[in-house]
Amino acid sequence: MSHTNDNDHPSSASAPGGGASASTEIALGKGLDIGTANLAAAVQNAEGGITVTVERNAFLDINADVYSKNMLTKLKVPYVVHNGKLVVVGEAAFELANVFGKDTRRPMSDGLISPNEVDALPIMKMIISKILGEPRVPGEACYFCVPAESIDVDNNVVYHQGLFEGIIGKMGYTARAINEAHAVVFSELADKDFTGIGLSFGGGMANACIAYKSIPCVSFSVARGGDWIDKNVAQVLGCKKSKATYIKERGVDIRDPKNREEEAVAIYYRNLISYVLQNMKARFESGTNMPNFTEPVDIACAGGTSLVGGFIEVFRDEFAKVDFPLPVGRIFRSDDALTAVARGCLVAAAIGE
Amino acid sequence: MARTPRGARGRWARARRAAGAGCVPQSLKREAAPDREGLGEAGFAAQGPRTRMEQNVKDLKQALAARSHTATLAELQSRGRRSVRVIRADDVAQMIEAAVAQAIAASGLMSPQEVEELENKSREQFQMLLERRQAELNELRNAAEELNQVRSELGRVREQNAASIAEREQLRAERDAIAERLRESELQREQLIENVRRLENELDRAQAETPATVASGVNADLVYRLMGEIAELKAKAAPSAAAPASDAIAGALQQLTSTFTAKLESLGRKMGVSSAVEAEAPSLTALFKHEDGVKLESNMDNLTVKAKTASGIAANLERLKKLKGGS
Repeated sequence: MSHTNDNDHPSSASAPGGGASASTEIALGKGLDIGTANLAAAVQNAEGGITVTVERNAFLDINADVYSKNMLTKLKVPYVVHNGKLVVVGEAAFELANVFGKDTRRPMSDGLISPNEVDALPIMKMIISKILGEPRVPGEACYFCVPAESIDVDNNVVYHQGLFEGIIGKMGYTARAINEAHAVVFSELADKDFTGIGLSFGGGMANACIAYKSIPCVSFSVARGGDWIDKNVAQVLGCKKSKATYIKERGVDIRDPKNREEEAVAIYYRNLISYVLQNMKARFESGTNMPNFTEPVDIACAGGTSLVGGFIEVFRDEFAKVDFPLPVGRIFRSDDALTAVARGCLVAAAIGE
Repeated sequence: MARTPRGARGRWARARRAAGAGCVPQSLKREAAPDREGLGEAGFAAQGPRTRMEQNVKDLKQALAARSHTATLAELQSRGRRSVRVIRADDVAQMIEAAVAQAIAASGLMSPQEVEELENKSREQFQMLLERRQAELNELRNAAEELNQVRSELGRVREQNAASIAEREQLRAERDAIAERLRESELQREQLIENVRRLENELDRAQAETPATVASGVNADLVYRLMGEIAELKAKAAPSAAAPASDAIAGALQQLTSTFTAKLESLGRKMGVSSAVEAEAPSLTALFKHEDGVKLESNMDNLTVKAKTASGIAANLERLKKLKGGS
């Protein structure tokens, strides 16, 4: 990724106290994680910290009538009227779907915009607009994440990237794309001079990036993620996918599953981690752009799918079974795995990568 | 024909009386005339004078028809004719008979019977001449038709011949062009085979020289160079669509270069080297130009999103700036 001096890059402002020092600068710029399961926007606030807004990337259509509209507004459930239908968006859609025993509709599939959901774009635009807000200055930089090309399915990231560049550009931002796993390197490997392996376990994909002093060397993705686990668990248990998601997210420890449902979740989690590691090994072994690491590198994991209990322990177990081609030091999960990608995008936006 | 004037008829009667009743052929007297066909001279002579008169009139009419043409009143008027003289065929026949009888009687050379015999023979001769004339006319008509048919046939054959000659010339020219292209293709094929052998030798040499630590065994620079050369060779070996005779050679060349290219590209892909050329990514901003001003009804403006705070990125930014050598 080249370093450019953006002439329109907004100037920084000093913040009173907070952060690392009294003279902490508040850089303009926003980070946006466009994930299959969740959308997250990160912005540096006046105190020097970060404000992150997360919304589930899902919607559910219900019958439109005045009574329903009023009820939804009273219950603070966000909705949109589209094509004569009432569309509930975000987390509320996921909750309602579980109540009614339905599956939510997903604007994205396998990490990319879904071609089957023709209603998806206007809904996503509304959600992104809500969480991103207006630009603080015209042309404020907004870095959004995109997956790398998959090594196990034939997908095209170009359309996905171009589409969101257009959406975000229309909102008044200067949109730039950054690899999802590279964003994890920016957010989690600062103390290692941004050298190491970043892994993002998302809903549709798992992305990997090996970087050397913030320069990405090898990036790739595999088309398996949280949705793949939900699909297989739902198949095994004979239930809806949204139910499987609910089981996964209610608090499971995949090292110690307590019942048949949790066993199913644990099996597919382990399979996913093993799959990612095997493909990382094969990819890193074959690439000539691999830098020569004299020191062990850290592996940082992030993404909503890595939030499950016992994830990093199972990851270390599976890693031990693989003869990895690089010396590896610490394997850890981000303290805030759900927002790590958005924060990494914010770092890139702030520095103007 | 109109009737003869009364005076003329009187003169005729007087002429007859003067010539003697015996000299006047009976044919002047009018009688019903049976068909003359197949009667013969004796039969004709056996007919009564009225019948013979009618036959004479019929013969006369046929003769006049063969030598005359029909004109409409309008045509006559267009030539400036306002009136015509009209005479009946009967009267003409009578006049001719009377004249002939008179001449013969006046000469005294022939008896009335001889005259009648002569008359019958003359009539027969006349009929024969008439029939012969008709036959000649028919023959002439048929010959004219045949001539027209032959002429049109001749024209058609001449056209076909001209087209065949042109086609033959064209085929000759094409044959010559194909022969020329075949010669060129043969030369190219030999050259390409030589180049492929040279590249294969270079590849083997490169594989032998490259150190064992490189997993793929091929130097990236060499791969790029070889792939570039292969692309040039492929461009040269592209078969011409207009040279059907060299298709087999072009196909073999294509297969050879494809195999070699596939081998190199597969090696390259494993190493992360691709021969694909990066194109500029398309801008999709125009997809949204029709949505300006379109606002969906929603309650989202009235709702506040849930936000949470996270640890700052100040340290990250500082570290990154130091790495990049910035202030």
